[in-house]
This record gives sequence, C-alpha cells and structure tokens, in this order.
Amino acid sequence: MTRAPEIPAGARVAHQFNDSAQQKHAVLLGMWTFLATEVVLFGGLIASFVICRVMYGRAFSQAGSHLYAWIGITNTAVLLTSSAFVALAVETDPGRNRRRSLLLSATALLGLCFLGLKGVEYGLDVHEGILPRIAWRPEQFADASRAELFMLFYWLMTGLHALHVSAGIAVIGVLAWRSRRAEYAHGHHNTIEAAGLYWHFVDIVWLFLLPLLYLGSPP
Amino acid sequence: MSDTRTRSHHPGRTIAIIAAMLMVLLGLTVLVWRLNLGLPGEIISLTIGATKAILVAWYFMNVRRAPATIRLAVLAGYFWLALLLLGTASDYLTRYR
Repeated sequence: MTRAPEIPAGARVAHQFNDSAQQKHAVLLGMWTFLATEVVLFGGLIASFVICRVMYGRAFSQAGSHLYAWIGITNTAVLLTSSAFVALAVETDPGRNRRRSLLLSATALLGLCFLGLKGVEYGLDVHEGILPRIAWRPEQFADASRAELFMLFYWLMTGLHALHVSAGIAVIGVLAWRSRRAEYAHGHHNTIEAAGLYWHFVDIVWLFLLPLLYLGSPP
Repeated sequence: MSDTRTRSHHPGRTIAIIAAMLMVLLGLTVLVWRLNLGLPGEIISLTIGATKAILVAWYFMNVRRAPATIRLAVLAGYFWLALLLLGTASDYLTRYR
C-alpha cells in the first residue's frame, strides 16, 4: 500500500492505516470506547451505592463519618494536579522530550503520592476496625450490618480505583522513561495522548467517589 | 479530524487556568461539606463534582477538539450510564414506596 504524501518523515504509521491522522483517530476512538466500558463498570457500583445511600440514609451517613475525609480531599487535589501535568505533557511539542518526560514523571510521582496517602488511610481504617470481616468492630455503629455494607462499598470502590491508579502509574512511568530516551522524537505521540485520557478518567472517577463516600457525613 | 482543528496558541495557559478553577471548585466542595447542609449539601457536592468532571473531559481530555465519532463514543458511554441509572432508580425508587 502506498502512503499518503502528507505523512511526516519518521512517523510510524502501521500498515493498516492510510496516514498518521487516521491512525491517531483509531487510537483515540479505541481508548474512548474502552473508557465507555469503564464508565459502566464504575457507574454500576456507584448506582448500587446511591440506591443503598437513599434506602439506609442514617446508617450510611454514620458509617461515612468514620472515614478520613481530609485524606480523601488531599488526594483529590493530588489527582487534579497530576491531571494538569499529564495534559501539559500531551500538549508538549513532539521534539521536547526532556520537558515531556519530566511532566510524565511528575504525574507518576503524584500517582504514587496518591497511593501512599491511600495506604496510610487504609492502615488507619484497619486500626479503627472498619474493614469488614478482617478488622471489624461492630460495636462502634448503631446499625452494624448496614455500616458493614457501606464499608464494603468503600473498600470495593476505592480498591478498584487504586488498582486503576496503579495501572496508570505503570503506563505513565514507562512513557516517561521512553520519552527520556527520545523514542518519540520523530513519531506521533498517540500513546501518550491515549494514556493521558485513561489517567484523566481515573481522576474523574475519584471526583465522584469523594462526595459520595467521604462528604456524605457531617464534618 | 482533530488534527485539522485550530489548537490553542497557549495550551499551557488554558491548562493552568482550568487547573486553578478545579482547585477553587474543590475548595467550594470542602466549604459546602463544612457548612453541613444535609441532603442539599450532598446534592451540591455531587453537582460540583460533575462540573469538575466536565471541565476535565472538555479541556484536559480535549473533547472540545475531538471529531464527531469520538464525541459519539463519549456520549455513548454516558448514554449507557444514564440507562443504567434510570433503570435501577425506576425499580428501587418505586418498589419501596
């Protein structure tokens, strides 16, 4: 197959695409389609949580007051900042590898910071006895069975989110390293843009988990 | 295609402004929480969360510059989410009345 003349020199266009623009479109459409499935995955959990929150309002509100809201709020600021860094990395000119690598490294570091804070929070949660079945102290709740349901939602949703953050850190970390080695100097950086979309999505999920889990109880 | 759309001359400045707006909205979320408004407070917090999500999607995820097919994929995700939420809510919110 002959390539279209507008392809920039050195751009890696796979043989199934006519040109780099078509390739970029396919990569981004693929990532958005994947994110649509992720929306439904987290959406199902959030919908279930909201139904239970409406049905067991008082018990859920009381259970929520046992969470460390300030850690959740700090982590939101951390993720929002990391999203800004990855957005800057995507906008960086293809030739500026060092700048892009630094921005991606900062994103991955903030991701690690998020996980570190989450780890500290999980440790405090276990110490406080709000991990169902494993470290569970029912006597601190007026309605222990519904509080346990709240905590199951909390651990499941934040745990699934933390897994997504971990995957994001791995991908962004590899891209930072490859950028540093100037592997994107002459090519398109569709991979970085697609990884950026994933990272932003993980950020968006947290934007909903914060008010639902942490801020549904009086301070 | 997205490549042919006009890109901002100062993408860094736009990103900084949006990041600052997101932080202000986060501050507002915390303020609403501290005011302890009950159910209206929770609804306001979720609305602010949705506003933050739209800002991230529109500016950071570049939906504003995306071609029609990608916008369709974005809308499809939210369409399925809306079906999921409506279907679930219509069951639970009517059955337990």
